[in-house]
Amino acid sequence: MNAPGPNPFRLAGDAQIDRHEPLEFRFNGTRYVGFRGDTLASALLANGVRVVARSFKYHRPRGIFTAGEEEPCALVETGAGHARIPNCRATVIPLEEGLVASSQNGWPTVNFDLGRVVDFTHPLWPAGFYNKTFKWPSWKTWETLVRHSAGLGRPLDGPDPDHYEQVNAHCDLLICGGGPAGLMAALVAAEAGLRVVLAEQGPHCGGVLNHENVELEDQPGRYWAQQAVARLRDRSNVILLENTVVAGVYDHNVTTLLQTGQGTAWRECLWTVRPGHILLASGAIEQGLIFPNNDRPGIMLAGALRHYVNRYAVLPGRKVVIATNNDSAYQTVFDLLQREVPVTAVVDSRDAISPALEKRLRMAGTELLQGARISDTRGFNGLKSVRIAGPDGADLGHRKCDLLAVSGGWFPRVHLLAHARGTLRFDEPSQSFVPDRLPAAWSVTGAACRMQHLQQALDDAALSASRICERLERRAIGPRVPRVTRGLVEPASIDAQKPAPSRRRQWIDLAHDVTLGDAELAVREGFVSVEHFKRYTTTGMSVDQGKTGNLNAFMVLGALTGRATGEVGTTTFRPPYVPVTLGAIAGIRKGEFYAPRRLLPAHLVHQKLGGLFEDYGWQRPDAYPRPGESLQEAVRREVLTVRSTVGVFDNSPIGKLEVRGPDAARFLDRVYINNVSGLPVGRARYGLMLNENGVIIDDGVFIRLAEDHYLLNTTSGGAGRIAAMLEEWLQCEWPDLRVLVDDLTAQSCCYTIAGPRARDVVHALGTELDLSADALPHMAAASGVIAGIPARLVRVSFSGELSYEISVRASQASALLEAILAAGERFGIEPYGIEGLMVLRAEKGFLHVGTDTDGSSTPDDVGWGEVARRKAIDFIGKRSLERPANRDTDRKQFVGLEPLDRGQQIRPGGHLLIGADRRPPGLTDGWVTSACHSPTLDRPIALGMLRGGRSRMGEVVTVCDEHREFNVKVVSPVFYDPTNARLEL
Amino acid sequence: MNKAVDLSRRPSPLQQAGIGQRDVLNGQVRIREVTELALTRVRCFDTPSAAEVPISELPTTTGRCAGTDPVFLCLGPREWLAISKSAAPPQLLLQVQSAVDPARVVACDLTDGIVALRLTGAAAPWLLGKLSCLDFLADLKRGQHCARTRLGDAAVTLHYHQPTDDAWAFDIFADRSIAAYLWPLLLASAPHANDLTRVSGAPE
Repeated sequence: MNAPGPNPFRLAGDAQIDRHEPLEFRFNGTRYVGFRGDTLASALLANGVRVVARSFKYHRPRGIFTAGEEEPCALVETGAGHARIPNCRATVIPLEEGLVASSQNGWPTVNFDLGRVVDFTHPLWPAGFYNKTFKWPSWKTWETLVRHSAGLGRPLDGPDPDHYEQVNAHCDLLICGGGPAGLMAALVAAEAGLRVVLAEQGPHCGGVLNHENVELEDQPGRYWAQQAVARLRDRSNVILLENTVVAGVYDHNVTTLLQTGQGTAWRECLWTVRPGHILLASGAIEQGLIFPNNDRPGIMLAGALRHYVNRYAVLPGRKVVIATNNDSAYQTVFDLLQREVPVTAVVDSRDAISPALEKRLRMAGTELLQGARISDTRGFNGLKSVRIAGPDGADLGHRKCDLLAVSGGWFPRVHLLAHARGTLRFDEPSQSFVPDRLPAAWSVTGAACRMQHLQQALDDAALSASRICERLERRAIGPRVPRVTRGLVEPASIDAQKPAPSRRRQWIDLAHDVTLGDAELAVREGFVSVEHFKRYTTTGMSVDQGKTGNLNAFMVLGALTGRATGEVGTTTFRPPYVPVTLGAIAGIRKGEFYAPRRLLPAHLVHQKLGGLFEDYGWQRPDAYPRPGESLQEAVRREVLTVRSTVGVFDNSPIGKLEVRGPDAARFLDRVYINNVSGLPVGRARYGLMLNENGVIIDDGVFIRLAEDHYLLNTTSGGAGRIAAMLEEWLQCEWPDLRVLVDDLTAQSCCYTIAGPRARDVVHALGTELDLSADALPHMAAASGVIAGIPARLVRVSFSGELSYEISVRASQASALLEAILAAGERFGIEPYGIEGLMVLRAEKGFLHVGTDTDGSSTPDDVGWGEVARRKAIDFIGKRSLERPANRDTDRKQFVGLEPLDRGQQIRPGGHLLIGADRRPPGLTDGWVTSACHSPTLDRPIALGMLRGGRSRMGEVVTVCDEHREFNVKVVSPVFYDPTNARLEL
Repeated sequence: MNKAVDLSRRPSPLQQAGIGQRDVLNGQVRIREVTELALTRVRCFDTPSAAEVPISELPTTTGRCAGTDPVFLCLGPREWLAISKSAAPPQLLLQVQSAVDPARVVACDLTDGIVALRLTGAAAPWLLGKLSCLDFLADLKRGQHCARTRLGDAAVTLHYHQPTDDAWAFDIFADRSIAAYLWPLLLASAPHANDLTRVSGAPE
């Protein structure tokens, strides 16, 4: 019966493994050998490994229960170091040479786990125990311990070294499942010319044809599957994906598929497929039986046993007993007998079975116990025997066995249908939930809609595909449906499970250690709604999402509450169908691809200048430290250079929106609080934009280039947002205005030359423009040639110094910057960065929207109330400024702050408290918005928002900054050049 | 002024980002920067029929294209992108401006604000499909057309056209400032795009 060699539980005979290619692997440090084609589970079973894992809550020994993605017990960790992958199902891990895997949740070893003390004290830990038990003295006392004990598997302690991919695809028809029905439908649809995506979760299409003893056209079923796959692979209109699980279905049938790489540079690939139609051909999942101690290693599903025997030639035990409530388990008996493996007994809960089955069984000499059930099992780390009870509960004694195959019926894989909001109904004959109302553009075929016979499934799949073709206006022209010449014993006449009372625990959900006792407790405590029941007991909430236990849980709840199972209903199946790694969801979007990095046009020049880059939406230099110079020292030097001679700043990211059209002035009058239409051509003005609530959302200079043409400068990060906002107002509210807005931010670069020698530098660049203060005063603009390049020149300042902004095409950015530096060399020009600019504008008291303002700041709060009030015509936010709350004189207002102690450091974020008796915690009277040490004034300065601030000039208020408290004097926000003399040079 | 500064230099967006190799063949996809195109955005206040533009039939359906040089891409209602291979950017702008009623149409040169990349080869649709959710395999049967979409997290305009008699290409137009993001993103995605050409059979 068993083949000699390193695999004591490997059978001789036909199998879909390559016995000529042994593969060595390690499990829990022990070396084993399997074969190419094995899964980790089949290889472990072949080697006689019974305890693979420990259960989640009680640390009970667990073996392998299934042969597919529904596995609730055999969760293992693969790999080592940073390449560890926790919570992998051993049943779907293909065996590879050198594979390393280990058990989870067992210490010191999986065979001797001290954590099992929880099992021995199980009455203390019923469902919801943490809600009741750990209330004294407080939950916090126990939280650390409980959290340490909870969870399964260890997260990675470093970056995931694996590579993940993503791809989008479109198709006419997505077929979920590459079993016989899926393949048949794919053949029909592909022949008709539909674009088809076929997703099969296993490594080979074929489904049951690969592991069941069926024949099509007198050939083993898998041969037909191989031929079908070959035909599909030849077609350009078919995308055939194996090792691919349909993980979720979302709105409009957008579907995600998780593909596992085999010998690829990537570990997983997440497909997003947008199909015209979805055909669910996902088969059905066998359910377990509920009886006392039904969780021991050695107990597995009858279908899984067939899978291991037929596909991998593995018999995971020596003495076999089969327990069932339906006919399908008898196929297991016959498959074992065909391999000359005797079956000790068949325990069938039904009072009678078909005479044909009974006759075959008797002929084989197998004991048949009808109307019987398993009343207990024995074995500490694995099954050793089962106790059987008769129809009247009478003890029929023990049967020694180390392998118990169980079948509790079949649950169609309808989870994806539920994702798409399809509905289910309970089907009495199959004792299961089956599809009822289908969503739009959905079809279901095969075992997923309770087709019990293979021939019926194939015929229906072909018919379904033909109908889909018709719907999509294609004509189905073939191929012929194969004839099933040898089928399976189908799961007819299923007996509803009625768990008998027992003092011993009976598991409903193996993955989350939920027992019948937990279910009874939940019902006693009033959790009778299926959704409440699920959350209280946590059934169906583990890695397997209750694939082998949910149906039993619904039946148990129905029995306990005196309702029919159909009346109980199901919980809501939500995506994903199988666990999806975060890596697959992130895909390539990490590191440099996490978000677009925007570079200045002269990025390389800034690099050469030693710029210290920071991301402000754009990569911009904070400062240009010299060797040995700290950032603070560099900022101080740059600020003093601008104040004393001249500096150059790359202002290219500033928003540049061009507004054109005969109604441009009218439109902008509605956008800014300032008067726009009165601005002469060639002049610039600083303006504020509000939202409908009267809150400042952006600021900047706008320039009138022509009667019907304006250039709006927005904040650097605000260009796209403001352009979209202006478009929305134009398209939705004022479609009558003839105005067009173009965001041309990237089209040009912009350099600010600031300082007392700024005019000299522009002169030195070479220009025919008249730069005199009379010809080009502060807030004026001109166009001409500068340094031989067509340019726009604007006199505008954010530093408080004489300042020129030169804009040219982005492609000429590097050349112009180098020209400016060369021209300014004799005047001592230096580049300055963002940090320097922020100090310069703080000294001058210029507002920085987003730093000094927040989501409540109005123009009056920042000293622009009079401008807004004087404007007679309507503008966005005007009405809101009239609201009493916005006219309150006690609102927080923009002020300057000077520490009384000149050595006192002040930081943004500190709270301002008025009055000596005020102490935190309590309502704040304001906060520090900007702060720095002024190199020009050689003392700390700050800006802030203070309640009634403008009426408190000269008052002393307290700054509370974390654990520090100190006094500051309220002063004007303009610390430097209050008469603007330097701007008017 | 220091004469050592060469003011005639006009580096491409990828050159400005310090990317040396700007034409890469990776398996079945070729990715290269296209620098010879002039681009002008054309928008009009009124209905499209009122616009007078220098081609006989201006496409009015979003996604459609018309003309050869310049070719006009209809990007949205009353909005087009004019692309010329032969005219310099100022010439294209003047060409468009001189042909339209300035009271109805506004044209602005975008050439300097845009990075243009071209994808060719069998894996090109898959490469785009990795980064955008549009149906690029169906595109192959639709002839010349355009779309606005996202590649990764970058807003782009795509133009599927036939730059030479025997080859179709996808041109990608994106903001110049993100050239240093988009180029390596395409290069990093190319190997898997090549793998993907094998998930279905050869075209019949």
